[in-house]
Amino acid sequence: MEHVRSLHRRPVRWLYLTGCLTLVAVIGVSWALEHASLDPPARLALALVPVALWAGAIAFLVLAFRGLDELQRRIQLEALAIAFPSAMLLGMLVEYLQKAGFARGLAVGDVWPAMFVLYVPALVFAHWRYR
Amino acid sequence: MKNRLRLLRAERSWSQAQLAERLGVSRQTINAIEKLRYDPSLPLAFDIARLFGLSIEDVFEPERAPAASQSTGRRIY
Repeated sequence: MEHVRSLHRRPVRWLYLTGCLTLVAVIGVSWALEHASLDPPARLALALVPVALWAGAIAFLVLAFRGLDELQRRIQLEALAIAFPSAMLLGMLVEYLQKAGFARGLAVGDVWPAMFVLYVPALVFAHWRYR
Repeated sequence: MKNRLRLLRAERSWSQAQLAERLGVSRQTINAIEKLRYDPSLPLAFDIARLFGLSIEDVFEPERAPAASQSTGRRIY
């Protein structure tokens, strides 16, 4: 069982790692695309880095899900059910701030990686419900 | 849904972790079921009942009594 449990934890660790890397990549790539002088192919490759990392995070999410039991799946789904609309709310906030003339440096797309950050407290809350 | 899981486990001197291992679920799942915070799926409820050599009704009990129409055998379509 311990062996099985450790196998299940592996994709979760990779999920956290790819999620964190995506966050860093979004910030880094956004900065580089704005400030560094790069030729178009390099700009294109750089722009796709966060997308590829996020795709990897989704793959690890699916793998991690398969290794969970029914209560753990429910906890994860509840956490996602909180994090996803919260990220949408954040996106809405950025959009309307921009309409009002604030937060010009941000794009609505920059908000999506925040879902990963919101997912952590949502996960803690869902765990607390079934403690 | 009420259940006798804690009692049945105690009768066999199993820890939550041991029961979880036998059922192939996490200890948190056993704890949540015992504390009535989580109702298991039907397959897991069957597995639990089978493990203790009992029927589902001997382990789990609904919070509410069945509806009068059902208890009198009437069918509603």
